[in-house]
Amino acid sequence: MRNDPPDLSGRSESNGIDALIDAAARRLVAGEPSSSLRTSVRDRIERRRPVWLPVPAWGAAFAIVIAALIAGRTLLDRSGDSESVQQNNQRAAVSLPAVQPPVNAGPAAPVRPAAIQPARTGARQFSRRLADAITPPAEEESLIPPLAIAPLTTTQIAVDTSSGVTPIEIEPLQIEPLLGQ
Amino acid sequence: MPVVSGFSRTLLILPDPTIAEARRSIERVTDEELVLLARQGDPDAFDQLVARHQSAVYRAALAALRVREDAEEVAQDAFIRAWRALDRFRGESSFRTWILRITWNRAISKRRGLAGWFRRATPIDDVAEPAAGDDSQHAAVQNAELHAQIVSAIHALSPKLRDALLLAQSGDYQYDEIARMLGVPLGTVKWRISEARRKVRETLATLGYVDAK
Repeated sequence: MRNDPPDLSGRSESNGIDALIDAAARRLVAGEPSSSLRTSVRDRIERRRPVWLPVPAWGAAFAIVIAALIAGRTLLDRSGDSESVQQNNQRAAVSLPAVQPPVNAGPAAPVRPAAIQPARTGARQFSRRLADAITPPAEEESLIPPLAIAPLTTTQIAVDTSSGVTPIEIEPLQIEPLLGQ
Repeated sequence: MPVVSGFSRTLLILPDPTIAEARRSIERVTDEELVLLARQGDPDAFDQLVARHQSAVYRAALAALRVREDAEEVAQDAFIRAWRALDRFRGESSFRTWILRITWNRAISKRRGLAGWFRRATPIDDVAEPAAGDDSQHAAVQNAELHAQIVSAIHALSPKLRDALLLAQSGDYQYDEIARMLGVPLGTVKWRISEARRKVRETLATLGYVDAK
């Protein structure tokens, strides 16, 4: 692919020295790249792949860690719920008699579990604990004997009409308008 | 263009899987097909492109930098950049023109760097006596001193003139390729080469090696 020298000067006598110049220039850019050039390029291309390949792997690992954290928290929450339910049941057994009306049990039950559980438990857990606190455990119901309440009996009051009392008669008021003063 | 799913598979489906057959098969695949395969992520195809054009790429970098280690580094960078930018290669020019353009831009960027300037300030190995028994051209350059003066005069040229002269004499590029590489018209390339020769002749005449005309 050698180019013919462009002879723009038109001076043929300078061709000899031009040939020397061209030969010197040719030697300056002569030579082949080392054999490591091709292998280096190949290595760098191959090396770039693993840079991208771990991205999904890292993403998957990160997702697994996040999932494990969420699952762990859920399990902790559930165990915390069961413990608090047991505590509530115990408290309900101690402080709330089974026959106590709900009006009295209401304020006592929600306040103490709410202090134990963090706010993240939510309204659903709150209402569930409230129901747990109000409803006594089944085994406690069997231990407390039911109260025997006698049915109410009413007696008729007799009115005595023989005392001679006469009803008072009240005459209607008569109002007369005031005339000119 | 035949649809080939992979360059490696192209070799595998050869009827006679000998090395000679494989070599013939590789040579039959055009640059455009190799680019297509490389774009799909086939490193073998790109490796074949490197094998085909590494000499031209290296010499272009050497013409700009004149230091072999720098030229090799730039050639490597150019191929890596081409690999990364294959998706942006639209095929308006040939792969060879494209990679040479990338190489030249990288080489000029490096030449502008301060570190490259310091390295080029040191004497280069090519200012030496020409090898004996090379060819008729080299046999004519028997005077080592004259050769060294010519090399010095070439180095003293302005970058534009020197680049054109060295690229033209590398034997790898036609003038129109040089014009595309440098981003100048073809006539400008020819003028620069002629002007470079004239300047070197002037320098040699000043030193008394040739008659000043």
